[in-house]
Amino acid sequence: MAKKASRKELAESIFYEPLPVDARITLEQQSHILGSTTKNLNKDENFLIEYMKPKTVADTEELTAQFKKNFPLKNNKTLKDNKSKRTKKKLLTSIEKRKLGLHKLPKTGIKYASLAPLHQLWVEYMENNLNLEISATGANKDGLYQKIAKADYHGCLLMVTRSKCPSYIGAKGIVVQETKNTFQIICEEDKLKIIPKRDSVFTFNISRWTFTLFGNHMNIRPSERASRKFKSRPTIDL
Amino acid sequence: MNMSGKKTNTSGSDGFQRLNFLYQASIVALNAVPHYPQITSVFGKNMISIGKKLQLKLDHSVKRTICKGCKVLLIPGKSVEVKIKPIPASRKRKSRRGNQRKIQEWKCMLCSCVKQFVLNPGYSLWAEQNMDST
Repeated sequence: MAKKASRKELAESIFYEPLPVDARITLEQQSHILGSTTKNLNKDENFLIEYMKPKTVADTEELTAQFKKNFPLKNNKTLKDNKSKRTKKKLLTSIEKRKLGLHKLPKTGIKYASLAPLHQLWVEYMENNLNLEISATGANKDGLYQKIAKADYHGCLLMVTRSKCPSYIGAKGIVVQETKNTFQIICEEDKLKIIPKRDSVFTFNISRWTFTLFGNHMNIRPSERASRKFKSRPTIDL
Repeated sequence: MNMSGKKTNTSGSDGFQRLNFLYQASIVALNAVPHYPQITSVFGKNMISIGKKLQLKLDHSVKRTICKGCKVLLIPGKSVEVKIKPIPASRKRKSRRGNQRKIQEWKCMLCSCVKQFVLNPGYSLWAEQNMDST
């Protein structure tokens, strides 16, 4: 016992500050009167079991299980979890989307070479859509311009020819994501570049025609572009 | 598609071409970058919003391969797990022949959204029925 006590004291001295002497003495006195709490519980149980045994048929194990049950005085009803949780999980919140990486593409890891079929598909789509052999020779090109403005540019091989920021000039790559204000392209070095549409001019080739896109006129979401009517605007110099 | 086979400049044809391209592009992109399926969510998102803007209806076969949550293209084995399950107990009471029927569950690997289709032998979709009659 003495050893144990000394150990306890050691542990206490490490974790806690020592109690003031008065408090300790009063506590010890009280514990003598009450006995330690764990001992008391055991005594009660034993007493109860001995008391109940002759009066019931139940086993001692059942009895002990019964005694261990809690009978709270105040009946706290647990709130139903079903109401707070959505039963069928559809539609993500913005935070969840951000965590999944739906808004941002990785800076590296998507390879330029692997996107070649996407570009090929885009060229086919544009050739079909614009029907250049006929429309380019015609006198009235308003329809053609409208179509170019409304076309989709995912998979396009864009090149930045003019820009306010000189480091963007000459950047060339396949568009993987288009947002309201940016083109996100994968360059030949397998890097993602995010190029703002504003204050930059892009060019792209389809077979033997080259087109220039003025980024200033394209500051619209790609999906909104489909339904908007474009007015012919004079090109604004950068 | 037009019945007579002529190329007409209806209001939708441009939009349909774009939708078609987007769907094909998302398949190509998923094949090109299989380790990063998030790339296809852009295409899916655009497809849905263009459809809304131009009031074009996506075909059910297209609609069923776009995840409701993250808009990623769903291709079994690549971005979805497809399982066949018995109908859950809570729904059994409502349907008379519930015990026989089963559910096809598509669970998106990315966002774990679930699509469920009741497997009902001898049932064809309304869109498919219409196609047959005309």
